[in-house]
Amino acid sequence: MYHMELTSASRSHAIPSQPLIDRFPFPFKEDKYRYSNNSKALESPLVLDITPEYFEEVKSKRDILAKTHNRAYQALSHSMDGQWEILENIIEEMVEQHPGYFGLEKDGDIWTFYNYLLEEQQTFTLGDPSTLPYEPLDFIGRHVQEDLIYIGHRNGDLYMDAGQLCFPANWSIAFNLGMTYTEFHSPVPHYSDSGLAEKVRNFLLRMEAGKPWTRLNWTLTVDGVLPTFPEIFDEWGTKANEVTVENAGERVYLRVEDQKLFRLPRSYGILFGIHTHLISVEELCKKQEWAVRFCNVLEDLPDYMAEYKGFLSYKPYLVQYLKNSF
Amino acid sequence: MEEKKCELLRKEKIGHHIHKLEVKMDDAVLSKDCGKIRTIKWEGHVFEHPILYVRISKRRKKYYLFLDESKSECSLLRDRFPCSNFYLQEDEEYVPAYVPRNNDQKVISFIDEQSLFDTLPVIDLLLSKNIEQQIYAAGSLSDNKIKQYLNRQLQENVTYMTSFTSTHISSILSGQFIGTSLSITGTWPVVQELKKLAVSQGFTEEEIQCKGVGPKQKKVFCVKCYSINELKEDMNCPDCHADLDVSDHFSRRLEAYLGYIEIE
Ligand code: HEM
Repeated sequence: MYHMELTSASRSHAIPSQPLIDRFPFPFKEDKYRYSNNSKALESPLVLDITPEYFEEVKSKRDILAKTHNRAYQALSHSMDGQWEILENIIEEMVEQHPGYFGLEKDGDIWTFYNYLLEEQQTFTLGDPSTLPYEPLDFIGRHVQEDLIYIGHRNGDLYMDAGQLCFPANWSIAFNLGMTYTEFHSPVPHYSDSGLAEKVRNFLLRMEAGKPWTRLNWTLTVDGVLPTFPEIFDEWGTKANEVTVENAGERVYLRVEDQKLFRLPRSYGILFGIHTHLISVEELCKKQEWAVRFCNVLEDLPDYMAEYKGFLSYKPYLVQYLKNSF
Repeated sequence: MEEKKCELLRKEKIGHHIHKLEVKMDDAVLSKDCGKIRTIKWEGHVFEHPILYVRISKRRKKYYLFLDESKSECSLLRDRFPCSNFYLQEDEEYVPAYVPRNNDQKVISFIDEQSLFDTLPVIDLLLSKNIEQQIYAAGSLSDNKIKQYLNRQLQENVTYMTSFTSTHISSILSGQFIGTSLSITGTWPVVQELKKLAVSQGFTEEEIQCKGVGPKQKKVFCVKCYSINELKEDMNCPDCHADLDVSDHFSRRLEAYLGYIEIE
């Protein structure tokens, strides 16, 4: 029995707070960065990573979902089995790994889920969507920091069948819904024509249950905006014009997506989890070896990648800022 | 493309402007089960209006030709045709309204007045392959003669409707078994609408064949307000007035290209 009493005392289980610089997933292993299949076997097969930003980020997700639901949540009707499988997996992981934060009581198919951090509980019947306030994926996504995408595996191909996406790196799930893996990667420059997309797709098609993968993707974001939706590019995109050598440290953030891939044995789909971490360049420069490496990566980076990632215009100022820092 | 000689066996007027000819190829056969003829030539005459063909017997080299003479000012067909021998030249580019698949057991076709002509050879093709078919025809088929022809060919398997409503189409589609394919023809907007409905009812891309008539205007999805509009130069969304940077990123579900917000 996992159940713990829902008391306000439970809430004071503060999430241990380590300085960001000591836990930030710095993505560069060498002085050069190119697209490659940089997926690695995930050592501990866990979807969730609960950081001190939990409260702030979950609140931000829920605000976005309340105001602009179809921007942040989309699902095709045949994704329902996959959605339940994801909800079950995540809740099981929550109570096994974080019994101080979450609880579960089972009475056959009737589950009561407790979120002690947010002092919430929800009773529902497994497999019956009418017993939840939102679709299963949309429900469980409101209790985690990760964005959750469900990829269906049908007709020998991978399809974007559902997703809750509150912190996108400039892509739209409202547009991408229903696309194949190859189709939703088509904006990535030289990804398809180099043959890499095809290689990675074949690797994903063969992914096995119980052997998850992980990879880091990165870009830059001005002012540490998490919800960089293309839908509101006019609100955050103009900030790039304001970056100077003087303010680059404060205003430019390295944005790293910790992406995790899990084969779902029951629906035979794939869960793609994205945990987005942000660190200001100023903060990052506290580790000089990171500043040097980041600077070398940027200087070596082809323009087509800087253009796609959206920082070509201010790259010279950022490089100068980094050089001034060491 | 070479000219192939054939002999006329029978001729029937099946619509106000539509003739159905039964022909036997002399030497060379036509290349497909169902295709298009670019020209018919005989004794110095050339007939260039739409002509479709369907093979009815491979062994005996027999075909039906469908001719639409509605656009021909001089009624060559009525006056000088038939003579017993003439030459056919194929149009290789033509894509039939429907190409049967190996495992087809039943084909449901949605047609309208404009796509009716393209459907005629497909009806005979499916009959010859013993594939069950059901046709839904929208709009006023003004030509009574062709209606009689369809009724004769298909018995009760043709239904006339004033227009396709989504509830009615959904109820037709929802009760179908595996092995049923869809043939959707008509004007592009209607075809796209019907296809969306079919996909939402669980039909896969492989089970749906579409053929639109008229121009297929490129559509743009505005990422700001989600409206879909026709592509223009210097694209500005007619609904939310955002300046759009139209990309090559295409959604088959939405049948539209992604328009990103353009900023100064
Ligand atoms: C099935 C899981 C995956 C999903 C749902 C996914 C989805 C996406 C999406 C939506 C984009 C943005 C494209 C745009 O600009 O619209 C993207 C970018 C990208 N994806 Fe994936 N992806 C997946 C797996 C992978 C894997 C395994 C790789 C391994 C190489 C990969 C490599 C990339 C790269 C290199 C980019 C460009 C990122 C950048 O430069 O910022 N993806 N992906």
